[in-house]
Amino acid sequence: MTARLRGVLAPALTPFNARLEPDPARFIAHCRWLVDNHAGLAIFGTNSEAASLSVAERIVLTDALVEAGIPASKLMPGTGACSITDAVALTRHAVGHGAAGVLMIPPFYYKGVSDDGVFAYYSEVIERVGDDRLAIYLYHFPLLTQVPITLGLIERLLKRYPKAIAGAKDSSGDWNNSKAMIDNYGHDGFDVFPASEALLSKALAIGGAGCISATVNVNPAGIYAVFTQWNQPGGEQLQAQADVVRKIF
Amino acid sequence: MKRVVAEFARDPGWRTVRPPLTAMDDTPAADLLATLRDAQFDMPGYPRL
Repeated sequence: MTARLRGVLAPALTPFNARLEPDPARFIAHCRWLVDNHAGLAIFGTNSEAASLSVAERIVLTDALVEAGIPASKLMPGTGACSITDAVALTRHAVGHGAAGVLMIPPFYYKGVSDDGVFAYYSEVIERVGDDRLAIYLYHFPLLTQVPITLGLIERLLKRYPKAIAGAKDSSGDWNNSKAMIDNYGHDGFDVFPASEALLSKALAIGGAGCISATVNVNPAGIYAVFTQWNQPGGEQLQAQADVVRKIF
Repeated sequence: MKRVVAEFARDPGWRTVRPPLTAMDDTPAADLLATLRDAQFDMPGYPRL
């Protein structure tokens, strides 16, 4: 894949028309505005209603973005699925376009699964995709999935697939967990993105890579300003301004 | 989130979500938008219909 994505990413909203079909024109316009405001595109995340989209719909929308000139280097499509077959198809498609990475939620229908099982899922996808360009960002959202990406699992995956495992989005809302991910694996090139800009300055200060936050959909410039200026005079004020918007949502 | 985009894009089509999600009701949406206006929130340059 292309150079690692750092910075501020939006789980880009997916517009639908009156027949509830995805609307590529609105999607392209929204994503173009986000990119123009320095945001990366974590399309097909939770706030994208990804779980309500078929594999074919995700592929069509991704193709539409690339054909519209949105740089693949700005893309981190969500390709996780309960079916390994679907996950492989989506991941192959993203890699084929040269996406900067893929964001992979673990299979979440079955609860109480073991780390061994989740390891086997990611391993199977990586082996089947079989492409050196693959960069996977593990999606930790235990409240929603009840299938956590544990520190032990990250360690095992990094040991076995040091090139393919690129980082994580941490939607736990637990700063201590984000910090532990960064402290333990950041030095190995494991890029951690907390799911809220409220943690952005704190994360960047210890080596975090940015944030992937729903609010980026509406406040990309304000959050990007925090990313670029958090440690400069006025940085605290920028963080506070972004926090005000965040709290309203 | 979509309701806010719909407002700033002047495009009601943005309100649509896929079931089982449902679009935000008008009353809480009005409250949300009023709070955002009070905070001088804007989406500068957002493409409008």
